Amino acid sequence: MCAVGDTAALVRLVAASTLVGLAAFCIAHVVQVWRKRNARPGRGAPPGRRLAWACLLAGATLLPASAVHRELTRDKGVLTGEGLFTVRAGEDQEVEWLTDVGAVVAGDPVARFGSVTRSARAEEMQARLARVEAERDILALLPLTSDPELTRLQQAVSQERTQAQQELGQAVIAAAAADRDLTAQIFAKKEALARLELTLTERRKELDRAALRSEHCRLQLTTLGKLTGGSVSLTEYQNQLKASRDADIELASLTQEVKDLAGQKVEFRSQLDTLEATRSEPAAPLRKQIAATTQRITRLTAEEADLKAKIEKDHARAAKLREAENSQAAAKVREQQAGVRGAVRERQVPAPFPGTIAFRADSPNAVRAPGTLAVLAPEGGFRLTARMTQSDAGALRNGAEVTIDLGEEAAERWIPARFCEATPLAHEPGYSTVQLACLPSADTVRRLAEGERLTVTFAWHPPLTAMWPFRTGLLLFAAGLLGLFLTGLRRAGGRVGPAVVPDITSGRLLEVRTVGGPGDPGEGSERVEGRPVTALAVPNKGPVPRSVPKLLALLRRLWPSRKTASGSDRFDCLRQVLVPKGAPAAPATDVSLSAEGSHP
Amino acid sequence: VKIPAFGIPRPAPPTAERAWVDPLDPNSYSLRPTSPLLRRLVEALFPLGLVLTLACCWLSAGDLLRLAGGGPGRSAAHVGMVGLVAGVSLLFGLRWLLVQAMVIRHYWRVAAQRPPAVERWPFVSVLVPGFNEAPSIQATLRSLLAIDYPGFEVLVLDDGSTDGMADAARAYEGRHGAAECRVLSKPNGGKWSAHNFGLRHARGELILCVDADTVFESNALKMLVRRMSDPAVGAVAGNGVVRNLEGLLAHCQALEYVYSNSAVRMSQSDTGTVLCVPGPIGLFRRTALDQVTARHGGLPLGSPPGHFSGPFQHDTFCEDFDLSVSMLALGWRIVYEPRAVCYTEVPTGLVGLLSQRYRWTRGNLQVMLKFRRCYTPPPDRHGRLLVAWLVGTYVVETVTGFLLNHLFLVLTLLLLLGSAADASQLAMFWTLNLLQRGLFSTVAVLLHRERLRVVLAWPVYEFFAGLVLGGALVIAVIDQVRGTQMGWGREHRPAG
Repeated sequence: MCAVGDTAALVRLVAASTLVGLAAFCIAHVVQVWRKRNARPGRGAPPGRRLAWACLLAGATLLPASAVHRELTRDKGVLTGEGLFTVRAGEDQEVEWLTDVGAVVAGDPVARFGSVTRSARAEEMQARLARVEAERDILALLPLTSDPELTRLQQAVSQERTQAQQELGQAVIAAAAADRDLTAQIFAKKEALARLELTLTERRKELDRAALRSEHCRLQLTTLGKLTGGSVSLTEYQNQLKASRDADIELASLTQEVKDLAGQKVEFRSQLDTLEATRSEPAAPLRKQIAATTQRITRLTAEEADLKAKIEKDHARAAKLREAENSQAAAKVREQQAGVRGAVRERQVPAPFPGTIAFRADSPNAVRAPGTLAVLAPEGGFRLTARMTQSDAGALRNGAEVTIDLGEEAAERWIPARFCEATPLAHEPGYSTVQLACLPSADTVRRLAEGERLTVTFAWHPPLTAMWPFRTGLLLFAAGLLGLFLTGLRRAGGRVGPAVVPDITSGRLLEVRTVGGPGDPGEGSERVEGRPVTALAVPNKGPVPRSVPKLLALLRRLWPSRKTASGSDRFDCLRQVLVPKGAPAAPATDVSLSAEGSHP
Repeated sequence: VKIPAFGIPRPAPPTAERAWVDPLDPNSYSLRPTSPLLRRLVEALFPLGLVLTLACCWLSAGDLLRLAGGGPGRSAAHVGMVGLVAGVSLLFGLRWLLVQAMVIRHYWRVAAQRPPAVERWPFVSVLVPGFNEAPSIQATLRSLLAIDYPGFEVLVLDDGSTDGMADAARAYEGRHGAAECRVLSKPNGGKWSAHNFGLRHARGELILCVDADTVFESNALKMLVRRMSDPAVGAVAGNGVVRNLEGLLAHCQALEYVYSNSAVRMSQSDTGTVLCVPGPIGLFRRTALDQVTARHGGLPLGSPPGHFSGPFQHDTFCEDFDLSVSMLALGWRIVYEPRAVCYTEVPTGLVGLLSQRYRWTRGNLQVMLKFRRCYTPPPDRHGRLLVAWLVGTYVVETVTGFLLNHLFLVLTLLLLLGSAADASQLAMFWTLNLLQRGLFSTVAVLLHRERLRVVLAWPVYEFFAGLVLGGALVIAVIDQVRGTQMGWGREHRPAG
């Protein structure tokens, strides 16, 4: 299955498959025609030899094909710059000084610019920075801005609650005073009643004594009255009588006083009962007022608590607002500071990290803004990332240094690269991403700094022996050779030489070529051209395969050697192996010219 | 358009009127399209094709120069491979440039001009050899007997046919106006021996050799004979057009025929060294044939009864190519006449086509080897041109064409698989090459008044040339090196 994005790849694959299929179709027909043209009944090669030929041909096809494929295919990669620092000039800036190509450390000045308008702008930005710093300080000193309506409401409720509390206190005091007055009155009445009872008791005692004394006085008077005949003087009698009257008067007075006191006591008792009766309800309105005030105070307290919570929330909001305002002010300050720093830095650019100036414009003031003036690259900042098979990656890892091709448009087209690391692809087995470090030319660095994506190719090829088609082709080729050698030996041993095939031709005899084999009467003709003569060619007979003398002649031509006294050379041993025993020494061609002739 | 109908599918006339086929107006005979628009188009496409070819050469030369400059990323194998491709491309482009220039020259000097006036029309013998061609012989005879010519004879040479071809031909035996038809039979011995046999019975001053499955336009013979007004001309090659234009394979062959006639024969004709007079239509001077017979004619002793000696040789499978080369080696000029049109059938099956091309290729190889061994070209400009054309056509073009076609296939495959690096240069080269081929196809089709739909086969022609013709070339070379015996074979052809 493939994604929609792979449609183009799928179409290409289908087209390639079609082309391969067409090629296979045509090759199959070519082979069919070839077999048909070479068909010889009863003389088909044995299956082993056919297989050997097939292996040989497949190997012979695969070997150059793999070499061609190796030469035609190049791995591609993407050249990137990591952590590059680019120095660019503004529209109205002039470069006063620019560092040279070489290593720099962090903080080293890289470029210095000059510009009237930018200086003025820097001063303006500094003034603006001072202003925003002052605004930030003022803001820090300002109180929080809470909600005034909430405060007013809370104050009103608080005042009302205080007033209610005061009213409650007064009512409670008034109620206590009323209680105290009534109690005091009751106590006073009771005390007066007790004193009255005491007085009444004393008076009753005095009354009793007065009654007694009156009684006594009357008795005495009676007695004296009886005694008046001359025992008791009148004076005494009168005294007695006066005493009796005085006693009676005192008794009457005391009786009256007792009566008065009893009446007063009753009155006091009624008053006390009245007071006692009014003792349960002397402060009822006050208590009602106290209850109402208490309820009011409770409501006001709740309202006040609610308002206090709201005020707390408002306070938190105000605090947050203030905090945000402070942050805003700080940001404004930082912004102005950054602007000031940028303005300052616009005039002098320091190196942010240690590295190497990989590109420096030759004529900095001729570079049109925002062109690249210089590029600072960290150590190993240029990486070439490529996707390749793991076998190629392994071969690349073993290689010391490779060359990559930046294309014809690059000023320095070929640059060396060094293997850094290879990471196997998790979702693509057998493939890795390979990273190589390189140092491209200044022009290429400038292109990278300007954000151009550079696709480069490797001028490096994996070794042929690392390619599976080559190894397979080599194996097939060797197997085919071995198979042909073995089957050739067997055929040579069992082969019967051709019979004498005379042939008479006309023409000038230029060469005589022995051809033909057993069971092939169609062959055996000679190549004769030119002035007419008549020749009779008699091919040799014998079990020597045709290829043996050709092979020996080829070897002798390639590696000529002196013959020994017996006429043998270094290839005679090979001939003894290839030619069975009893075969003729050499397939010499015996030709006899029978007669000369003319045009028939 | 006065083309007699012979019961075969006639090609629709191309966009331009086939002016040359009008025998009533001999002054109008010209290769230039009659339509002013088409004429301007053709004559404008000529320089454009040259420019495109020059661009291809420029690219190839640029590659070679870059290779000469060296570079760290170029291994010896890489340099060798790119150098081979660039060198082959440059060689091919230069040759193609030369060929185009000669075609243009020939167009302006000969083809666009009126044919020369003829004071006397010589008697012509038409040799029609055939073996088992009974289905098509009558249509061929009808077209031959309808030829507009003052006096000629038609000799039907039955090469031992077993399908009643002679009986079929005898239906037309006798006198037909200015033409006389005779049927001769002989034991089977091959087309070359039938030609030699017929030559012994021919009475004509000029000999027209045709195939038995070919039909002719009525003015074809006059067009051929007009070119014989030059006494140095020993033979005139006609224009073979595909008759059964059905299917992609036939279209590719038709385009190949047009290429062959336009790019090869027209340019060769400009120097009078047309290397191969095609078997379907070729007019020979009797004197030249006699000279060839005297120089190279001969038979092996003890040859079978069906073999006859004569100018047509028995030792190659391209007796027409062999005869043409032997005539050229004797100093005769051979020219091409595109206005002499015949319609021939081509194999419609892949096996038949491969078998035919195998035979042609082996025949060509045999003729080339025979030329090296037996023929001695005259030591003058004509002889040097002959050698140059032979090497240029059958060595340089064959090798470079084979290599480039297969490089095209490999490149296409690699581009489709997306694994070719540095393919832009090659792709540009091939794009220019294809464009140039397309332009030339259009010009060739317009010049030869071929059906315009033949041009439609142009995009797949490279595949056809690489896979089909290349395959036949490979097996033919292998068998030639191995010395494999070969017979004529028999390609399947539909009944005429």
